[in-house]
Amino acid sequence: MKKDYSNEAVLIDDLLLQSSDAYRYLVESYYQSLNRVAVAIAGSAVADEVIQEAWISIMKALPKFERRSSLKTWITRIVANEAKRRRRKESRHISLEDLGNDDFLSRFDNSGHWSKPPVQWDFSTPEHILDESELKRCIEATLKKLPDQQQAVFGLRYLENYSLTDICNILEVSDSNVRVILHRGRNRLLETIERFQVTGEC
Amino acid sequence: MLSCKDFVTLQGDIIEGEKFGLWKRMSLKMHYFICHHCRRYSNQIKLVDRLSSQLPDSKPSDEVVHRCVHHIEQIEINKEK
Repeated sequence: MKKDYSNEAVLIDDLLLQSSDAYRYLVESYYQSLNRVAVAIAGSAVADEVIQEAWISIMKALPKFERRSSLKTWITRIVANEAKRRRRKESRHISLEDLGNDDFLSRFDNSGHWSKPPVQWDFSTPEHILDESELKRCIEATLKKLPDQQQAVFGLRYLENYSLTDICNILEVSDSNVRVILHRGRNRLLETIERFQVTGEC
Repeated sequence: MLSCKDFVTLQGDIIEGEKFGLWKRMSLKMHYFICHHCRRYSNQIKLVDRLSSQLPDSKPSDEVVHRCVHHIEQIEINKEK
């Protein structure tokens, strides 16, 4: 009979019993989230290495895990610490503080008024947008084109449902920077939908 | 008086739940009513926010899962040695 690993106590007990099924569940459920944290802190080039290194600390410390926080929170903290250690070691890294220019601002004139205002859409709900398979593909492609670290922050906010405060605490970046990243990400998606509305293409 | 550019910038803060003072709230409301471009932007960006929460997440590839599970098993074997 398959065990219910969505029950964290059952999962932890089986991890301690060295169950391969529990390991598999752990990786399948947490890897994407941990990868986003590692990418956001240390960059995509070393993110997987960071996670592999973190598994060692996690498995060594698991018997002493006191269950005062959720397993995911505890593991995420270990990965974040490992990623920060790795970032300090790297002589060259791209920081989340370097945001570059905001292309959306080119839609305003010097007085701050729209020079390229938004166009009317036919879409009124998220379901309506996601039902349009070509548009859904365009949206996914847009997110993949974001710089890796910004993509990771966007994923933590929207796919992992982390709060702004949690993201700032885990990544140790300023609230204003995370807001700017999310704002720009949303604007990119808005422009993708707009382009699709006008041209029918990405 | 807020410009359209200011209004757009503040929409990001509104989505993140920022609480503004009375004067800024009034300015935003006033701008929303008089500027149909910004009204449209505001409605669209809120739709994008809701959409973003509903995007499907990808799963790690079989190769990644296999490699991590193998790695964890090796850690446990090494612990026992």
